Amino acid sequence: MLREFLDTKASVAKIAECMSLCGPSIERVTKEGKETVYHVEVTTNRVDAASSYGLAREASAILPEFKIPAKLKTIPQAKVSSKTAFPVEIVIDKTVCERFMAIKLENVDLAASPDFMQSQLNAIGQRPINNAIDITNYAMFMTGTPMHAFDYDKLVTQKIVVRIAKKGESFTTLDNNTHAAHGNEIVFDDGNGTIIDIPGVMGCANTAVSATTKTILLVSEHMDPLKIRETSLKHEIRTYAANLNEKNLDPHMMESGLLYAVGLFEKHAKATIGSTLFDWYPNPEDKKIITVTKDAIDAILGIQISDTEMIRILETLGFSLKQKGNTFTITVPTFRNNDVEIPEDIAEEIARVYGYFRFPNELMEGRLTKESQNPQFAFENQIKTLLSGWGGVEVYTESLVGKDMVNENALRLKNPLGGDREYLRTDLVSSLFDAARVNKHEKRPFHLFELAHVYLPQPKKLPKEEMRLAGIFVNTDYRHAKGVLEALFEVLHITKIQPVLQKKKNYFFYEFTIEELYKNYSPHAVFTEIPIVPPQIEDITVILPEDMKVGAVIETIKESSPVIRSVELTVIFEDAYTFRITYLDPEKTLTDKDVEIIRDGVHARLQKLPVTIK
Amino acid sequence: MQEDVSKLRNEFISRALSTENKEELEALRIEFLGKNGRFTALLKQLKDIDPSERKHVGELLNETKKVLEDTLSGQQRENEQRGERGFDETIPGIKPPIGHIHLISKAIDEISAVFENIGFVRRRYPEVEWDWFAFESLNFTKLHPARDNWETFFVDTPADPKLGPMLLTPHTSSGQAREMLEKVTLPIRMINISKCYRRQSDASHLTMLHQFEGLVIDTNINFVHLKGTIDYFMNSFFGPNRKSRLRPYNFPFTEPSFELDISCDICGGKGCKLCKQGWLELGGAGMVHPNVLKAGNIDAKKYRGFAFGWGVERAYMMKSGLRVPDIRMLNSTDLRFLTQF
Repeated sequence: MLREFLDTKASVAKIAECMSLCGPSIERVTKEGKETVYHVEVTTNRVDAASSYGLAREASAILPEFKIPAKLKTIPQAKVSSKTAFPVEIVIDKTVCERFMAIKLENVDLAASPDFMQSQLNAIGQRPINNAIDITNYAMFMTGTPMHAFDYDKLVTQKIVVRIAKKGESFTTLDNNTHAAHGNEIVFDDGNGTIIDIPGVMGCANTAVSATTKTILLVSEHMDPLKIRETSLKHEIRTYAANLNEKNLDPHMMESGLLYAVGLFEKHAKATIGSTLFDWYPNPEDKKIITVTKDAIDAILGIQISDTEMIRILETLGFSLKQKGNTFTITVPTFRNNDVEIPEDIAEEIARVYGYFRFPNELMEGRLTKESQNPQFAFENQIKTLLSGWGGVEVYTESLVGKDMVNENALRLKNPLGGDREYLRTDLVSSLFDAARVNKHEKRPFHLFELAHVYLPQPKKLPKEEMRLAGIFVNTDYRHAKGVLEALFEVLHITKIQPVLQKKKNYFFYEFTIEELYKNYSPHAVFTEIPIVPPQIEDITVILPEDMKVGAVIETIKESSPVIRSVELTVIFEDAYTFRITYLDPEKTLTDKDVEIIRDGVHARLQKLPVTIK
Repeated sequence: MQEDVSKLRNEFISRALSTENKEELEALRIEFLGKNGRFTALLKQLKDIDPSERKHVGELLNETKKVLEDTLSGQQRENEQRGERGFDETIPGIKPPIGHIHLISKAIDEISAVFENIGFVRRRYPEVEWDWFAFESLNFTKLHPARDNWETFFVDTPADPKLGPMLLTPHTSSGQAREMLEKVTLPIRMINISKCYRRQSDASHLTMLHQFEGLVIDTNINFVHLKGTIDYFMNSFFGPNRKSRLRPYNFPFTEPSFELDISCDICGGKGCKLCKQGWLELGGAGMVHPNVLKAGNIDAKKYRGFAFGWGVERAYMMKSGLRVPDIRMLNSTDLRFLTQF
C-alpha cells in the first residue's frame, strides 16, 4: 500500500529504520501472507500521517536525507463529469459539522473485492466483506479519509438531517448492536426522526449496503472531533474511522480521499457516477503562516543546517516557503494545522528529518546554579546506609492504602483503582505491618524500614508531604531492636529525642519525621578533651522487683554524682541486674577513698528504691 | 622474691596458653622447669633466704610449682585436642546481619550522582499537585486524555479556583513550573526525583512510580546540549556498551521533542519479545515549549531550555543483567525478593 504512493527503491528494513529515526516510529515489520506489514506508532498530533499516503509523504522527505531517492506520487482521483443534480436533501447543524461531501454511485456490481485488496485488508486485520464495503475501508487506510457507503434505495425519504441525538433515542449499528443515545451524539436522521447513521463512528443497519444493493450514496463528513470521541467511547464503538475522526482530520483532504474511492468503485465495482459531487464547506480553514529567521532556527538547534536543505525538507513535507534574506515566511499545509504553530515547531520538523542522530553531543557551558545541594538528601541516604548496615531491609510500599489504614480525615481519591487503594496514607507503620505479615513464613529476626512521604491534609491547600522514617522489628527481642535505634541516634549525634520503640503484638516499631531527626542531628561530634587520668570501673549488682523499671535504676545511679560517666547494663541473671559504673574526674585521679564516698552515695539513693543491692 | 615468683608464674601461664603444639610446650617446660630452668633457679635461691621468711616462701614456691605443672598438663590436653582438627580455614565465618538498601534507592542514588557531576541540583516537588502545575502550565490542552479520569488519579476535595482540581501528579514535569516560579535566580539546572502516580498496573507499568526530571534553562541552551546531557547520562548509567536512539515524538510541553530508546541487553539488540526490534523505550525529552517558559514567568525571548523525564524503576530495569521479569516486583515487600539485591 505504501509504495502505491511512494516511488523508491529502498528496502523494507531501510524504510523502517529511517522512519523510526526521523518520523513516525515503526515498531515492528511482520509478514502477513504475501504482504509486508509495518506496525507504526503515529502520535496523536500527527493524524495526517495515519495513512499510506501520509506515511509516503513522510518517507519522501526522510529517505533523501539518507541519500536514498524517494518521491511522493499523487492520489489518483475520479473525474466527476455528471451533470445530474445531487438528489438528496441535506440539512446540516453548523455547530457540529464543518464539511459534508457526498456523491451518488449507480450500477454497482456487488461482488467480492479484487484479490490484492482482500490480501492487503486481511494483512492489516480488516476482514474483507464485499467490494463496496472493502473499497470504503481500503480508501480510508490509503488516504486517511473515513467515508461511509449507504444503500441509496434504503434512503426512502431522500433526506439527511445532521443533528444532535436526544437522550434515549434508539439506533442499531452495522454490527447489529442496538444502543440508546446518551443525548450528545451527532446522528443522521432521515427527516422522519429515524436515525440512519452515527457519522464518523459507524453506520446503521437500516441503511447498510446488502446483497441487493445497486446504488450507493458515498458520504464523507467532518464532524466535531470531541463529540466523535465521546460517542465512540461511551458506546464502546472504537472503529478505526472514529479513531481518525476524533483527532481532527484536515477537511481539505476529504475531496481527494472521496474521489480516490469513487475511482476504485468505477474500476472494481463497475459503478458509474450518478450525480454531481455534493460539497458543503461554508468556512474553509485559513492557512497558517509562520515567520521565522534562520538565526532563530539555528539558535534552537545549536547547529547550522543549510538553507537549501531546510527548504527541501519543509517543501517535501508540504510547507511552502518564501525567503527574504534571513527571514522565511512559511505557509503550513492544512493537514498540519493541528500541530504546527510556532517557530519551534518548524525547528522540530527540520531537526527530525535532518536526523536527531546527526547532531553532535555537547554539554552546555556557562554559569552553574547558585544553590548548593540540599543536605537533607544525604542525611536520608546516611540513615538508609546505617540501618541496612545493621541488618535493616529497606522497602517501598504503596502510598495508596485502604480506609482501615488511615486517619479519619485522610485524603480520598475520586477515581481509585480499588477499595484497598482509595486513600493517601497518613502514616508508614500501617504499611509496614502489612509488609511484616507478607513475611510471616520467615522465622528468623528481621527489620524492615522505609523512608517515604505521608500526606497530611490541610484545609484549602495541598497536603503536607511529610518525609518520615519508620521501621518494624519482627522475631526480634526488644533489646536488640532498641539497640539498632540507639546506635542510629548515637552515630547521628541525636541526643534530644529518645530512641523509643513501640510495641504491637510481637512487633516493635518506630516512626519519626525526617524533619525532627534532621533538626536534632549533628553531622559530627564536638571534640572533648581526652582524659589524662584513668577511669575507675566497678560493677554493682541489684535485685529488681518485677514492677521496677531498669531505666529508673540507671537514672538513679547516674544522678548520684557528676563523676559517674556511664552506667552500662552488663549481665541479667534472673532478677539480678549487673551495672558497670565508670567513675572519671578529669581534674584528678580518683583514689579508692574517693570512689568509696561516691559508691556510698549511690547505695544511699538506691536504697530509697524498692531494690536490693547484692 | 615473692614478686619475682608471681611475675614468673604469670609469664609462664600466658605463654603456655598461647602454645599450639607439644614441641612449643616442651620448650617452655625446659625453659622454666628444666635443670637450668628459671623456676629451678628460684628454688635454688631458697637456701639463701632469711630463715624467718624461708618457710613462707617455700610454701609459695611449692604452690607455684603445682600451678605450673597443672597449666602444663591442661594446655597439653588442649593442644592435643586441637591438634586432631588443626587450623581449618574453610570453616564458615559468623556474619554480621546483612541489610539491604532497596533497588529504587540505589537507582535514585546513581541517577542523582550522575547529574550532580554536571552541576544539577536535586529537588523533590509535590506528589499531590494542582492541575495547573501538572497540566495547564505544561501546555496541555483542556481535553488531553491524560487529564481525564482514566489516566490520572484525582483527589476528592474541592478544586482551587485558580489552580484547578487536586490530583496525584502523573509525572515529575509538574516540578518545572514550580522550579521556574519558586526559584529566584536563573540559570536553572535541576533534577526533580519524586513519586508519581498513574491509573495503570501491568508487568511493565506501576501505579506508584518514581521519575527523574531534568530541567535546564539559560540564555544559550540549544538542542545539542540536550543531546550531550542525555549522552553523558546514558554512558554513565548504562555503560559504554549500550546504544541509544532518539525517535521524534510529541509532548505538549516540549518542542522539538523525542523519545529515547536504549538497545535491549537481553537480546543484544537483535529483537526479542521484551523489546521492539532490539530497542527498549526509556522516556521522553525535548526543548522546553515557549508557553511553559511563559507559565513559569520566564522571558521566552531571552531564555531557552530543555527537559527530560524518565522512570527511575524503568531505567534501572534496563540496566544490564538485572533480569527482574515484572516491574511490579519492585514494590514487593517479600524478603525473598528484597534480600536478593
